[in-house]
Amino acid sequence: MASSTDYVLAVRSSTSAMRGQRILESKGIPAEIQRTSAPSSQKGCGYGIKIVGDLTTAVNILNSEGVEVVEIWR
Amino acid sequence: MVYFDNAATSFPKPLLVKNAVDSAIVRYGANPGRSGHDLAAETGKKVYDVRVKAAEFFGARNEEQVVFMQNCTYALNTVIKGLLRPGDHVITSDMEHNSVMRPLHTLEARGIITYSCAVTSYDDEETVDAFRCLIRDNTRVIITTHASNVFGIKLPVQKLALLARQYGLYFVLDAAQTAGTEPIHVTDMGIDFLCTAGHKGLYGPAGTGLLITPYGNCLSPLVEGGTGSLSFDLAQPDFLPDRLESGTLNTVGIIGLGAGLDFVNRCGLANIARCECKVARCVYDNISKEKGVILYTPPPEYGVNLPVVSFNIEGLTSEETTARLNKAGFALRGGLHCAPTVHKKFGTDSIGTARISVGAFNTVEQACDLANAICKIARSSRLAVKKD
Repeated sequence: MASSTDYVLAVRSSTSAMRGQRILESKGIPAEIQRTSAPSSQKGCGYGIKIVGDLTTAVNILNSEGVEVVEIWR
Repeated sequence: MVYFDNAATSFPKPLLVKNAVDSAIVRYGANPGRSGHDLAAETGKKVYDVRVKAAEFFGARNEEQVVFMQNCTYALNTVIKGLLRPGDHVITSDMEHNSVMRPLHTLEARGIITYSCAVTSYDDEETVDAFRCLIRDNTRVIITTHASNVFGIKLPVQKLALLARQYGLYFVLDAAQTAGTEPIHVTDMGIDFLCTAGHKGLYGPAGTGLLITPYGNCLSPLVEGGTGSLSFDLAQPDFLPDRLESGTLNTVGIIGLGAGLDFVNRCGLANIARCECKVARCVYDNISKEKGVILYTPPPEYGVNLPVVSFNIEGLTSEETTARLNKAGFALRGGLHCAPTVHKKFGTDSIGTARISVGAFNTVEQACDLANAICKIARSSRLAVKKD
């Protein structure tokens, strides 16, 4: 169960997830890849990057590197 | 058997590659990018690591621009058939392999595109001018080989990429023969689509190739299907690598390719190229003195041309020459090497050429032995002609 400061940033593909993880960790933000817990009704199966902490910073970093965050879960 | 057919595929493979392939079979057997279990994640990570290595090796902006392919031919077909639209005109060179010529011919025969072949020269400016003169209003793409697989002649690809940029054309590079021995940086060189084999100068296993591009969403995929992403959407994903990587990947080959990249990085690309050139030059110098041996190009020289030497022996077809060399313990390829256009240019289309193509594991000693064997065949051929 995610704590109140855990977020999962859903991305488009497993490659995006691994790239996003690499980018975040290079900026000192611990990140973990996980399969999304249920298929999204819009997208289907997917991958997410679990982070703990500053959501806005993480999303901004990913966006600036071209890793598209398609959904965010708490 | 001494192997001098590295332009077809490199052999032997480095121990590093063999060990990586072994580990892939034993440890990384799950399907990457599909399931969520640990084994799939670990396999996915191994594949991803190779993507990162390839992106760094070729100067891609990021690893999502790296697409794993079966070979260079598949990559070229993916670009040619996925990019060109009705009415487009393409310019290519007179040195191309059939992996470029056949898809272009097919599209032209179907009335979809037209194409022109630029006449290349040893003078880079002349070559660039030849391409420039063929540009029309509807020209959309320049596709060229980095170097001839038959004669080892390099084309001025950086200048051609610049020409393409000046005219707003896409630049597609066939680097089947040069990846691993020539420096290639797609971003700095302005290469829009880099197509290459993984099993030649990158020392990966057969069944591996790469397409590197920032314009993947411009390509209509040759193959569509499962990607492990956006599964509810029946339209193929519009992002790389998924757009062009449907179905289960060649995990074993890709992991082996990663080790091949490590091998090239550890040896140093320039060191490999220098050593190969030395070996090729040794053969060239020794056989060039022999009466009855026909050579077609200047001697191999590091930085100028590739360590590929095409030759013939008077009185023999290229296949007869390579068959005799095979009996003497040397593996060389004869014939047209799937590049008939360049044989027409050099007047060798009726007999082909015997081709010596050097790899990282060939030695000067092997080169001397090969040269001796070629000279011996040339002498026996001369004697046979005299008797007749």
